[in-house]
Amino acid sequence: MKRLCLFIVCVFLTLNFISLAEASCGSSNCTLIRGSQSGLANEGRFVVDLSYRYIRQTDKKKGSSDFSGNVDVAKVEFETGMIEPAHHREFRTINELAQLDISYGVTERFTLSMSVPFLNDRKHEHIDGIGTPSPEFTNQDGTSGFGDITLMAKYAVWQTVKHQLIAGVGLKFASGDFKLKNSEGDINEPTIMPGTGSNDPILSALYSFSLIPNKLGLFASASHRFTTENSLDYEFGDSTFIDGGVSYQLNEKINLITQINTRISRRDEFLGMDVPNTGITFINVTPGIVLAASENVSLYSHVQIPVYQRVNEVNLVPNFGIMAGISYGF
Amino acid sequence: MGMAASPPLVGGPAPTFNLEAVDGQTVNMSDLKGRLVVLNFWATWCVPCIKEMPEFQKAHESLHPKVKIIGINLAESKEKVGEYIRDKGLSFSILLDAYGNVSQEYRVVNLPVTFFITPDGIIREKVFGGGVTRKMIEAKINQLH
Repeated sequence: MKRLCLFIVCVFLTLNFISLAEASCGSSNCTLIRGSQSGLANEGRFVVDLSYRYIRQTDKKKGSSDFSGNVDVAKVEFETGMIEPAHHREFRTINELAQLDISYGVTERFTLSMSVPFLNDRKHEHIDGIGTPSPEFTNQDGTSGFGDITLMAKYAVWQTVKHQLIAGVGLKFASGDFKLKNSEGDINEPTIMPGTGSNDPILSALYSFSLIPNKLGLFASASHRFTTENSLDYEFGDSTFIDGGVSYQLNEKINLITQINTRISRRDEFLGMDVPNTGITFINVTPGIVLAASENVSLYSHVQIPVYQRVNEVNLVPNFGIMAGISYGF
Repeated sequence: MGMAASPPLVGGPAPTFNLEAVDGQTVNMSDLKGRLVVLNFWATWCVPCIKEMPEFQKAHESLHPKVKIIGINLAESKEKVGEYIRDKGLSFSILLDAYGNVSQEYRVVNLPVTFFITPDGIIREKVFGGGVTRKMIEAKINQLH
């Protein structure tokens, strides 16, 4: 499940770039490099983006191999300061996320953006108390709530008709719920919480190359989240995201995008101890389509398909992810 | 195609170029010295650009030959641009920046963008985004003349 939370962050950090880009040809001007804007809005212009994500986790992994055994994972006991290995048996987690993104082009090169995951909903099924005389299936330990707000500042350090290099710096705030209780009254697992409880700096960079202006473009990006410890003495592992993709303008209305998303997250720590079943490496292929509904409005949808997944010990991993949204520029 | 090394900043020299027009002729920027030039970068897929085109045509009709109005199309085919010109009845010079090299020299990152260049070859003003009208062009020309 550790992967789950970070997987969602990954989806946000990568796919969000696309949605903002497609609103870049508005009523006053058109940005030449499309499909990879990393959230740069045109000067004096707002871009508001509303998106929905669905991620289903039922596949099992042991290391990087498919696994048919039981996915028994650890529980962090915040009340006692202990980690209990193989505490419960995971079956399924369904993640749904609704997010609002707002960007404003302060200048032609400088954009401020804010991401508000206003609803994180996780339906979770597992068996508690494995190894005890009375193991119990439950689907009551899911969570739902407000997530962590992220503020980013992005600056185009190099921008020409064909090339664009954008550097970004930001902070993910501890605005989301991270102390929700489970059905037994204990603090739920950190990885299933809407928020992480930590304030984490983020650095990012993105390079775009327009092979044919408004037709065919390539992009590559990297970002890193420097995680910090929250007030429960829990620290998610640092995460690095590396992405590359191609964008093709099929016609005036339709833009096709395919990208490869890589995410590497280090193992989490609690009170300085390594937390079992945390830390991942994921590589996904993400095809998508963007439809220009009007001059200022675009609709988009992407599917994230895993091609490589590695976990520490055993864990559930996403079968796929779906994202859909609407972007409005004004 | 020759291009100047100087950056196209407002107040600096306009980069020279030698581009083919839709009618097959070539236009050299250095040949335009001594004339006021309005240089507009555009594309047919750019809605704000094509909204401006009738205004450039009107300005061309009212200011020619005192002012040379030039549209530089970014990386579209001669056939597509030619069809658009015929359809809209445009008679001012439309040049083809097939590989975006001239656009890059002029540091174009958004369309449309319009440069006002005085007879000494200096860029005096840059108008970013759509909304250029014949009246605006005439007013700026009067200021620069």
